[in-house]
Amino acid sequence: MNYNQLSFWIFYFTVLVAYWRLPHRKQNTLMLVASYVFYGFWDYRFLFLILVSTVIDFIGGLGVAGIELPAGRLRRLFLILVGGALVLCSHVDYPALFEALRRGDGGAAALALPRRLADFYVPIGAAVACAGYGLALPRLYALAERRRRVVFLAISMVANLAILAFFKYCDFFIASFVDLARALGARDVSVGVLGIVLPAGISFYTFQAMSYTVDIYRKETEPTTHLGDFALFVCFFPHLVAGPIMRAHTLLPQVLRPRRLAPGAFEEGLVLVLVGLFKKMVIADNMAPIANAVFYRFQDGDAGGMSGGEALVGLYAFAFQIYGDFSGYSSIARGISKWLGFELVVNFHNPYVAVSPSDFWRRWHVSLSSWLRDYLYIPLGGNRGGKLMEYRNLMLTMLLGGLWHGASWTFVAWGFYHGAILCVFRLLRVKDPAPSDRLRWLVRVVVMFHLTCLGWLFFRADSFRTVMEMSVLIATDLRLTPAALAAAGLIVFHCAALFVVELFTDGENALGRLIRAPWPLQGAFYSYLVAMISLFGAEQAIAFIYFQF
Amino acid sequence: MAAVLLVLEVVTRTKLFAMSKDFRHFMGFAEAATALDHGVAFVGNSATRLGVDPAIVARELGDAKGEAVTADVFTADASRINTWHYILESTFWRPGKRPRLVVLTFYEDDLADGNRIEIGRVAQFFTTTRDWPDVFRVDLPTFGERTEFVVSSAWATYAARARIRERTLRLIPGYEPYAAAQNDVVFKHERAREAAARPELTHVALHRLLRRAAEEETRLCFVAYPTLEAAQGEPYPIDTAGRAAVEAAGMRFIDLRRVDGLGPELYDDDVHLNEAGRALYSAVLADALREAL
Repeated sequence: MNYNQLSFWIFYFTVLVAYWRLPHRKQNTLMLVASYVFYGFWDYRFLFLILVSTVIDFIGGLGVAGIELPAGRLRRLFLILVGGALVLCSHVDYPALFEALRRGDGGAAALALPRRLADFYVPIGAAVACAGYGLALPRLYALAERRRRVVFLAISMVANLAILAFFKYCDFFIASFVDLARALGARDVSVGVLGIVLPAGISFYTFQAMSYTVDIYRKETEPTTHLGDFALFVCFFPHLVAGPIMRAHTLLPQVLRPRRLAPGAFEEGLVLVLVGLFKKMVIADNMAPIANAVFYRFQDGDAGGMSGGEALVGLYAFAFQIYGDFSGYSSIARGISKWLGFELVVNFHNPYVAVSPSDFWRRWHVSLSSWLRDYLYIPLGGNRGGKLMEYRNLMLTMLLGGLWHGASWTFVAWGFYHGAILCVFRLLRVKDPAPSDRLRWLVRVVVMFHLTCLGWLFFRADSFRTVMEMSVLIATDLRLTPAALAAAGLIVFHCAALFVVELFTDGENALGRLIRAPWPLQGAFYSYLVAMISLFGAEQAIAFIYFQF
Repeated sequence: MAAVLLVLEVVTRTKLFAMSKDFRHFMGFAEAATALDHGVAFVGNSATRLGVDPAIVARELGDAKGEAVTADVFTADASRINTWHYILESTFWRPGKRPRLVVLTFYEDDLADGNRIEIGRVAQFFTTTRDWPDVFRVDLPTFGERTEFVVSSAWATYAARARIRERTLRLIPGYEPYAAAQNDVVFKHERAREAAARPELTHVALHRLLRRAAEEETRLCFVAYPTLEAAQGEPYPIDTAGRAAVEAAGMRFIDLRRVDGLGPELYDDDVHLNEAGRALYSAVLADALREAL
């Protein structure tokens, strides 16, 4: 169920209509159930991971703040976990079970239930872990304050990172280990990857849950004692699978307080949703085939005859695809949250008019870059401790930022590349041009856009071979063939209008300004968006790229 | 906004439908079926449109039979078994329109379920509300597809958006050859990915077509088409379950994946024949159909 599918909108408006008829507490309950249903559409089994992350950080946050949970509440929490594991992860064949129950066929219903011991590994594991943690908790509560705070923080961090490491990186590390061993001459090493399915949005909700405990540790936020409210903070569906990553001090108070639809919120939400759909369906999904056609040919070793100009235009197409895809999702997430009375942070500010790498990261995926800055770069020492330490910290932060995006060496290289250009710009003390110096500003925008595109080459390519071949081709044969010009024409046709509007409205942040524009201008803008979405939206709905992160 | 959409709808219905060669072709199916009388109807996609010359086939068959034979093509580009079913339903399975033989030309997995359907075209030209239950049951399994189908049935601009897009984008210099080359690369990848994701071929739509043909006493002949790869000696595998279903229903199945004399010089691309290729293939096809007729 994606934002670019009608089924989502039917689901959403059903929730929205019911939502505003309920009092605050029931609104939260409805949103929690809706969020779990929304996530369950991908793969209901992975709801258990969200439950684990929720319960551990709920206990952890309270533990850090020195709030002891009574034994009765702990038991209920653990029962939720073990019950969740039984319902979600014990291989019940639900379609067959429901069908058997509908037919009143007891035998068939029994066959749909788990029978082997292996079916119960996850519930048994959950029960054992809960029992162990339950036994340890009184001792942890009894620790001296300083120690207790560190221990609960560590438990939260380790649990979330372990979930992330196993589900996202396990196969990557196994494959890398095998490759390394073979490169070192151990030819008979054969460790099979586990074929683990990546749960949608795992990087987003684990980072958000971790930041809650860290913020309490830093005394920047207060813990909540209400499990339901905390669970909603973790899995609030508009941003659950692709962000923006919300901080506890921003989102949690909105969960706890009664909400109201602010004046103008509906119109602002509408603009954000329409612009988001436009970015996804018109820009991203139409750029995808242009970029794919180029990258597939390199992937297949069939790029003979392609000019560097064609490859470069394919790379531009990917740059606009990923921007349209991700900022479109963020825009829709903000719009539908506004209709629910929530405010999500702005995630993009015209990233392609950045004039330097640091400017780019102030504009691109702001919620992640600020997360990495606050929870990684600054704790590592930030720019304290001299230039060398600053560069080391930058490189480490960007390397991990690259790895966060995906379990592949090309993502690590992408992070390395961005770390390197950040360091080079700082080393050379390149200053941002003054806004009045238009020509210098334009040159720097063009240079930075191309540096960003070079980074996207690592991001999109399937291998370093493709990166090398494409780079060499672009550098040595920049012929603008008819195919390159046609592809460039398509990019301009699909993207130009919105980029012009964004240039004058400061990106996602101030599109709401349009609602205060004269009505003929508003009408023309809405008509353009609706006509483009209806007529030029790509026929095949493509999943959002960032769902896989 | 509503005014803009209304104007677009009027323009689409009054101008675009008349301007589009494909749409005129679809709208002329009923008339062509009447003119065909008791002749041979070729139903298929662009492989049929560009590969079969009905005049050559009619002449060859007529010479062989010693009587006048009529033939015509009823094609929709990129269509497969699901769309062909509705072309037959809307064009031939009507009172007074009985072709002597319907030839369905296919390649690769065209006869299997799960291939992409151009929903707007099926909704606007080949179905009525009477077909909706069948469309939902067999052809469009997902909620999103069904909604798109219903919207397309009522809103011609939306249904024709692929055509509108094509016409608009053609204004970009060099668009057509670029789009064709891009489609080739992307289509090959997507087809391979779709095939890998599909556990096994099913033929619900094919069985429906065979059943309805039996009910309507229409003789069908399925012809496996010679793509360039097939003509060069690497024929795609025959969909055996599809073939078995056709033969079990008493319909004819002709394997023309390899045709002597069809070389790369007779193809415009991986699938479509040029004029000389069309002439050669049409003659071979007529020869193969002689017995079926």
